[in-house]
Amino acid sequence: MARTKKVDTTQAVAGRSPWRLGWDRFRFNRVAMVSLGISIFFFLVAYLSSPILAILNLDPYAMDRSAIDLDNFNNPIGPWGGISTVHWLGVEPGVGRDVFARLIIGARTSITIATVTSVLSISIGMVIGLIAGYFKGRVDEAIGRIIDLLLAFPTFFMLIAIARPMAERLQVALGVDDKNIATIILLVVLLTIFGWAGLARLIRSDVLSLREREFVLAAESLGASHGRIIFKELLPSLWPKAIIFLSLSLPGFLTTEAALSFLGIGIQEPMPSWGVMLEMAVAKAYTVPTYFLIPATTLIILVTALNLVGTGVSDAFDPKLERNQ
Amino acid sequence: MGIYIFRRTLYAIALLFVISLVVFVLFSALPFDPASLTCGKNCTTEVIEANRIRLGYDLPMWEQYVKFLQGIFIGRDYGHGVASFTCPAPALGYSFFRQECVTSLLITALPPTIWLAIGSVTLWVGTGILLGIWAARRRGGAPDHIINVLTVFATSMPTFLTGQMALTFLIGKFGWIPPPDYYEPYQNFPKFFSTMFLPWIVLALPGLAIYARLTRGFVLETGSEDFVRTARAKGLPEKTILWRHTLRPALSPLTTLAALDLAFMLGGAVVTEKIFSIPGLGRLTIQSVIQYDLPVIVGTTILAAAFIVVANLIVDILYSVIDPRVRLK
Repeated sequence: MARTKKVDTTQAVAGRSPWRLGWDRFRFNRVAMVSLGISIFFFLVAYLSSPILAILNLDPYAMDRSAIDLDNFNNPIGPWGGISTVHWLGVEPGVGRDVFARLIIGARTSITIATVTSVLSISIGMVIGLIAGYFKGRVDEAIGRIIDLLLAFPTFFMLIAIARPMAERLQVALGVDDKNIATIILLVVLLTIFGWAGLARLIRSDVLSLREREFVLAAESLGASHGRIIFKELLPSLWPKAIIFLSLSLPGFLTTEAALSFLGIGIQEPMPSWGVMLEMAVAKAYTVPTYFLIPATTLIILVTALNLVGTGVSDAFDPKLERNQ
Repeated sequence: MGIYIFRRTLYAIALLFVISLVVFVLFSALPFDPASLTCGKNCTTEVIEANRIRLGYDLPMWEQYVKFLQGIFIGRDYGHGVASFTCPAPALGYSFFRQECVTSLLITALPPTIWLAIGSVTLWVGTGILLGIWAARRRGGAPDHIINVLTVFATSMPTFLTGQMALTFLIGKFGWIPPPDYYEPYQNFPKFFSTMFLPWIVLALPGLAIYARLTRGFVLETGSEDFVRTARAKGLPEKTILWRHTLRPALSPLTTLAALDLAFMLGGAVVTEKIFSIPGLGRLTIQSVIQYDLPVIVGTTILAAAFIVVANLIVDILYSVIDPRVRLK
């Protein structure tokens, strides 16, 4: 039901860009805004983790022997996993490393992997989807086959099967000392390889209908080049889809990284990531529950917040949705 | 119609070939010598070389692939004389680590995965649809809100966390449910059921939320269609309207989705199987990865891909049968 609004004719009618329209709708979604705030907070803490730890004088790799009870299976001293004024979230059983320090440094690793992967998959997905939809014919057919192939692969399964041995080869090829650097690069590359196909398919079908619209025909008849039509005419109308995809893929990649490291296939000790922390904590989950519950809760909060932002974004930016405005 | 099915099947077979090729090349390019992995620490070069020839790793890669394909159709013999062994068709390779043909390993690991998959998919599709209907019928009411919150949490909780938490707290701390173990259903059904119960729920949670949300959308959408109003106007009971009219158009998209989900699950629910120690395909993969047992990894990956390709094929064919609007050349 559309309500008629009185138009104030004294004011100049300002055109509002799709961005502006979407943002205005998003702003009034209270749940989404709160979630956005939480997500931004997590990102800030993750990327400011080094200065934060420097100020607090904490080190994610330092072992505090005084915080663990050597007579009691090296479990943390004190209740709640050794939470104290020095160790805000307690210490690790066994080695006594600070959980808070590891949590925020680990957040940086996990969030970086998820963000870079999302951005890469979206860029590739958009470009390939655009090319397939724009040039149609054989190009489209060839790309369609590749997408079919990628989507038929059991992605998570493949990742598990190839990540570990490939990381070793990559480490040798790059000549780096830390295997985790190779693992991070590899995770990003592999997740991207399997991640772009879904979006490319969506974009392709959009472009197929968009390219028959008048503004594209107009540009064509004015002699615009393929590049200009693709990037200047078609691309702007596809951004909303990319934003929706970004907000939904970010939590997805975050959990995938955590799950892989949890299975012992992603990042390895001593580098912290949320998955590594959870993997380490499993054996102690029964005796020192906080050690497991802290990274678990943090992961769940961030993923939930990102998912809610994602829902909010798709509500705000989806042009097909009917609204009572 | 027949031509469509024929062409679609051919395409699926071609896709499977390409997948097997990609997987094979990918694993052959990995940085180890599969032959030197065949025996332990005190191993002589002669033994390694003998094993290399016996397992066919001395051949060029394309020949290895041809042998691999041959094995699938006619079986494969390794070596000659006393030390030889045979894997009958369909042979997917030989695991030297486990001293067993990959196919028989897969066959042993398949039943637990099938039970896990069928149980959880049934649970999530069934409960999801019922919850979705409930939410749609009480739109804006308490059930709708509860389900909204539930779906947000269920989609945000990674399976490995819910699974681990259930294991630690429900089983470890309170001992409400028997510890993980695997029983054959036809040997000890009560034990089978009580140990599979938790894995089913854990695996079903995210899917359940998605189906609830989808069904809610479908019911609300078709609920405002003319034919539903007509049905109501001619005085049909609400139950008939819901099940015979409102839900009918949702049938084919939901079947498609369920079939594809089942196929994904049949490839092995790696995380759940690992956490609950279910001896299925997922756990087999994880173990093989840790032991660098390459032939088994190749086998499980190809099998998992085959499930997806076949499910896609079945769904496409069913679609053209169920839905009269889809008439394909």
